[in-house]
Amino acid sequence: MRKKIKSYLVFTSLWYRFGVYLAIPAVLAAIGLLIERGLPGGGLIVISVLLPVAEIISDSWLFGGIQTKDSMKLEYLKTSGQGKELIRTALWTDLFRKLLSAIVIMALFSLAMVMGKGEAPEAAGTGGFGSLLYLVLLSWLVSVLGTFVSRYASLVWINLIVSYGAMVLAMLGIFLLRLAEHILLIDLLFAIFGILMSTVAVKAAVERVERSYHDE
Amino acid sequence: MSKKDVKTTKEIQFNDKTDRPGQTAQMWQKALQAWNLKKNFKGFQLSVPGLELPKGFATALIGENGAGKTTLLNILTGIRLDYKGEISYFGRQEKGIDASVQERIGYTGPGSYFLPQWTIRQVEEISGLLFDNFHKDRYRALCEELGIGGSGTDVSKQVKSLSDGNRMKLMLAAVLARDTSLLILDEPASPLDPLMRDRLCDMIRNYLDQGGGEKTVFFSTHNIADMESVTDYAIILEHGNIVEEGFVEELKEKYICVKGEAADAERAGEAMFSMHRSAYGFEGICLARNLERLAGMDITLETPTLSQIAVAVMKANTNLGKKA
Repeated sequence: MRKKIKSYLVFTSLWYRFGVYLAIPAVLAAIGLLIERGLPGGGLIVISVLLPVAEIISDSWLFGGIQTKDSMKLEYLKTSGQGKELIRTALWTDLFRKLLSAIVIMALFSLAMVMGKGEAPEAAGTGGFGSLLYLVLLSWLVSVLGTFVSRYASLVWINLIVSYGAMVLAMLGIFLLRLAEHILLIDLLFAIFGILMSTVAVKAAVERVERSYHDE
Repeated sequence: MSKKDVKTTKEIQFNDKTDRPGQTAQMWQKALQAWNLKKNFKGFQLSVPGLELPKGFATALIGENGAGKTTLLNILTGIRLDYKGEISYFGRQEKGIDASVQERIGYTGPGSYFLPQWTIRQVEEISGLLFDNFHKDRYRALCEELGIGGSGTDVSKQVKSLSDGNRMKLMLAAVLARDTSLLILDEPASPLDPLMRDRLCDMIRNYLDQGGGEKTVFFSTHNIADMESVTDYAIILEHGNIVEEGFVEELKEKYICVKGEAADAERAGEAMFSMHRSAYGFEGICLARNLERLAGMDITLETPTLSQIAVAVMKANTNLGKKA
């Protein structure tokens, strides 16, 4: 596990770590709290919509453009027999980190709401476990889908457009939450779809790296 | 004026595998052999019917821009896999490159080698992940010794903030911190200052000496004069083909530097391999076997430098300035 985390961290700069582990969660929590004041129960929803935006944009500085034809050549990694596996591990760990971020940020925010208001989760406006899990998985799923699409471009403005699309998708998902009856079942479907989407995303990036061993 | 016949490189024999040329007895061992290497790319064709790197020596790959040096090195290091032909490393029966072979090869190259956002510390971390034979303490000592990232080595410096020279030093530190059997260095001297080039030659020589005949270096260079002191064997590549190769000492017997009077320039030109003329005389390279054709002329013979030989061979084979 330590090697997996290290494999991932070697691709991240200090600024990226600061942004993803500190700045983004802090900003999202602050926005959530602000929304919560005017619209009780809206804080968590806004976080679940904005988190994919932050993830897609921040991914530009991590694996941005890795699926493009002119992707980073990674020659040093290619001189090692373990290079390709290291990239694969880093990609998987990144997607897992995105899930972990969604869980931690939203769970902590919900906990803060419940503790702050001194009420049960439903009354505190965070919904039950199923709803929280729904928002977490929805946010993660949209992040994975968005980063997968955005990695086909290396331009930040394209990533911005993709992130706006992801935001719309997340809002649609939240609209569905209001209509859904079997939330836990949908959660399960989201989890399965998220894993499948992650597999596709990693496969696409690794295939791009493999193609870079050949002229086109 | 007569010179003894020059043997072909394949005939050279040595006393011991670690000895330098000209001392006899057993055929040199090969660190790498390749057969019928072919690669086509956008109108360019690399075509190498046979390539052999003598084990325990430093081999220079020389050629003009676009000759195919980087393509060849990329194929040998496994960075390019779209080629035809076979390569055998370290005398193995199995052909081609795999993880165990890559573990034994240290490669430095131009372009996108390290990710720009990596720091000196991250290069250490990733090298530890990529190669089982990487030694962190050796890497740190080399970074310090080479003054990468300033005195005291600021390990938080990013690759993109390093000068080209320091980036090359970082690559060298990363590959020399490993236990390898073959170094393949693409233009290692180009970004380095003269002092560091001298240091690079020392580092290559130390690497070979420490290997006791088991370690080999293959590097491409345009800085032939700076690298001559460390070059044992030279391969000259022109538009994708090997046009000359051999141990430097043997090449210096095969080619002779000739200087003569202006009055003889016209006649000498017919026998010379490559020649410069001026109002005062001529100077150029002549094949030793053609020296007899200069008989009767007032000429001076000198041993050419590798650089003079390489330039003469490249001139004879270049497409530069020739109409299609």
